[in-house]
Amino acid sequence: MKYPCFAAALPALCLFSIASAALPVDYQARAEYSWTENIGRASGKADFRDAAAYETGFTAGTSRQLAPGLSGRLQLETAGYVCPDFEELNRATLGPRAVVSKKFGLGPEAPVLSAETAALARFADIDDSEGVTLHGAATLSKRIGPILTAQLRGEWQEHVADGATYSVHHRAVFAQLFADPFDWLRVGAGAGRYDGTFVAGASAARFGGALAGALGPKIANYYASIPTNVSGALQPGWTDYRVEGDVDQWWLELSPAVGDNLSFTLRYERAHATNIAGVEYRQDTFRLGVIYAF
Amino acid sequence: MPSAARSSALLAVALLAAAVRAGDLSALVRDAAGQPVADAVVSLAPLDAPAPPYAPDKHPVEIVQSGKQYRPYVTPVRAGTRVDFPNEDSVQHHIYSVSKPKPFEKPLYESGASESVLFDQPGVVTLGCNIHDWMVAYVVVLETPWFAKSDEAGRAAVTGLPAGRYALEVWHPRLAAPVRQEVRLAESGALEQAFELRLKPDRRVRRAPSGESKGY
Repeated sequence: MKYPCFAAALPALCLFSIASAALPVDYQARAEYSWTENIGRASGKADFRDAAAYETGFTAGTSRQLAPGLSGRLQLETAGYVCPDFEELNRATLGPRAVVSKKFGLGPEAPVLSAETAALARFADIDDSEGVTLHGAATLSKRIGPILTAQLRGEWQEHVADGATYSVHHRAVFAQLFADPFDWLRVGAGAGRYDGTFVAGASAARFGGALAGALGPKIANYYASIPTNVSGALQPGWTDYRVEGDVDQWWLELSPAVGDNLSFTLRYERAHATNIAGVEYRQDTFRLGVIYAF
Repeated sequence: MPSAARSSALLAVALLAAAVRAGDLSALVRDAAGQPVADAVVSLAPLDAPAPPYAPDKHPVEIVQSGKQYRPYVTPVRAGTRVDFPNEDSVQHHIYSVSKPKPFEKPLYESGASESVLFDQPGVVTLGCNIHDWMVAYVVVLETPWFAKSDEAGRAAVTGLPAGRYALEVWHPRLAAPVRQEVRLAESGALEQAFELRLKPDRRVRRAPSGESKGY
């Protein structure tokens, strides 16, 4: 894996360490095992590949109440993703995130509006996918009674990559609902829609066929106009390509907690993407994670 | 003072002390499953005479913010008591109450700060932190000096009670229905009472971390 770019992020890490000496810093670590069906985002069944992956993340942050009801948070976060079966998918991110939250009133049931922005450097086995991810989001949360919490979230993201195939952007809206039937158990569900560009993949044979018109002239013309990269990520000749389209995503989550600092997450996600040429991609992911707040 | 006179005076004091010798109440608080209930407040309000006037406690009453929690969870005090709120955490807090007996707010409460609040009206005051929603504590403000809080074994002892009739009340943050009864305490009497409380589920805000969406 090509990780010398991490050196560029080290000054930020040092600055944060110096600042944290004077500020109260909290830490959070997470580890996750996931199983993804159609990890390469292929549209043809013959190209579907399923794989396990391992992800770890670490966050160090400091929060401060700036005015009554107004809080700010700065954090430095890093994450790593390893897919043993398809090592070209391995990647890592590192960067700062800032969050400002306004609480309208007192108590757990007061609505909270949060705005966040992040700039994350991405390092990956696929050189062309390395770059910087810029992210902005606004979230409105409202606890409804002692058990339920509703969230509405809108986000914008742009990944400026070394290669055009991986330079993608999207806007998205989500609605989420959490229930805490007991203080040790959270049940959640959410749904959302992405609108923008994303990376899909295909075997050399299928992509070549599509370009040759096997899937119709509309798709052939469209695929001939978009950036592609033969990454070989899932098999020799595997082609990544950038398409414009929508992605509908929904998920269910079960999160038991053990004490105040440790929780587990069991999550199922389904994504259904459709590109503007009408090609569809389905992806299912099962996640089992553990999070510890220091 | 001649020794005979001094002996007479000591005897008179001893007799007077015996005449007003106070009684004790021992309470055992359990839930419907028979498990001991901690943090229940047992109070006795006199029915035959007014409660004695408030005398400030020699020891300051404190509710500490530590480990992003209020400690203790339940604090019974006599009306007129000042409670100190030292912030022993390294982070800020934002103490507030919207309870009728004492609405107040102390935002931007820095690490190491300590302020006091006067609780002068009887009733239950629920405390929260507007930054850390899981933080909760209760100040039970009483008009009587005779009260106690149950320990982990569910035991609470009220001592120094003059003989007479009392309105006994048990309070707990999760109490489903009020527990009130009249009790009579004889001179130098000791009364033992057992209470079985019907408690609601503990609906505190979750503190443990939660997962986040992974995006697409």
